Amino acid sequence: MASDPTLLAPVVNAGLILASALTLLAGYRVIKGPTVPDRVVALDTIATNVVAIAALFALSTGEGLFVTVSLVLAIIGFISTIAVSQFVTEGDIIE
Amino acid sequence: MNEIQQLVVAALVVVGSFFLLVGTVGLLRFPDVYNRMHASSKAATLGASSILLAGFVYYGPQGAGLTSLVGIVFLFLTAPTGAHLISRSAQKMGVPFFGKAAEWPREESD
Amino acid sequence: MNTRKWPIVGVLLALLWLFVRGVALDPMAILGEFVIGLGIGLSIAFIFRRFYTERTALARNVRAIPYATLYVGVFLKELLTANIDVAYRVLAPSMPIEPDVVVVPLRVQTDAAVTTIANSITLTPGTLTMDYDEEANVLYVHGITGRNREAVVEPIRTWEDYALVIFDEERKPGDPVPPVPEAPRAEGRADGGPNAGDADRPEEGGETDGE
Repeated sequence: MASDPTLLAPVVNAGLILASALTLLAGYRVIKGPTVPDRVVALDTIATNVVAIAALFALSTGEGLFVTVSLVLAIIGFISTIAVSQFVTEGDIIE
Repeated sequence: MNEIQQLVVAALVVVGSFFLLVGTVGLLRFPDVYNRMHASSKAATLGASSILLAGFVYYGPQGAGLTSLVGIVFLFLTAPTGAHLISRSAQKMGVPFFGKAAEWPREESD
Repeated sequence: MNTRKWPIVGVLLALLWLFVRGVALDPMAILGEFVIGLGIGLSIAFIFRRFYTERTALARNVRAIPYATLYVGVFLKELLTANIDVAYRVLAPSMPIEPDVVVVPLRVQTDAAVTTIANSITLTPGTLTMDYDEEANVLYVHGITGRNREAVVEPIRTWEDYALVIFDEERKPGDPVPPVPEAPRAEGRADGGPNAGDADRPEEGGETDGE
């Protein structure tokens, strides 16, 4: 089921472009900092944005598998956020 | 796919993109890590959930539509957990609060 | 009336399996996937049964479902209105934020209820749970409008009323809110009952907010 080109395709494509641009902008916060938690928050935002990009890609191609991709990305983003913030405070992930 | 369904999907995508925008702009504009977390972990989560909801409307109550619902629930369960951990670690590292009035209410006892 | 918990968890995992697999709307397909899900879910639930309490009161949990639905409804409404509020704060050129940390004493006491409340607070834009003090049973909430303490606390009390019923707590929804125990600066006003008894508590520290 390819998406109907009349209305949906431009909207979804615009959303894809916006989300990708936002991911790049969040990269600014990762580089700039100034503190480590700032970077972690920025990485978390990037993870959320990438989940949204995968979901948008599923809409744009009509390929349902990409929804599963977004779910897996959400899981990975969650675990990495937890691990990094744990590492930052405790100096170790699992004591 | 009929007309109404298409309109709903488009509207949800627009709303979701808007909240993603709000989340990232907040991340860039707000003065300290705690306020940035307000913008990013919630507005961005709502944006992503809205887009996943669009996926549910697009695919209907079967196939990938159900997976999108799981994704929404998962995002809403995990976003606060991540935010708690980051804010706690920020506070333990002694990242200062923005604004002269804002401060940690009580000394750490440990 | 208590039942073992792991079969229930297993069935819930099987339902989750149905959703993740994304079955087609066809009775045979649903049944087949559900059987596979039961096989995987029950074994996982059995292996990891030490991670949760062994028994649960099933009938009481079923009775709590209407309240849980109400809770989700109230929460979603709060989520949407507050998200629009934060969107305004982010996008407005003057950026009207007044961040502060508020001490919120809780009436709920069980782990599950406290977790639910804390997560709801975090998901509602403008407030963020930072820490939980187990001894004093208070949450530290960072509010983007934290200087207006009432506005932060008010929705939390509404959820708490539902959570008290859902998680079968000792206190009832009408009960007064405990005062903030010896907090230096939040003046610990309880927004609820008449006998909260915090009128004569000494206030130290500079900023008195919200009154």
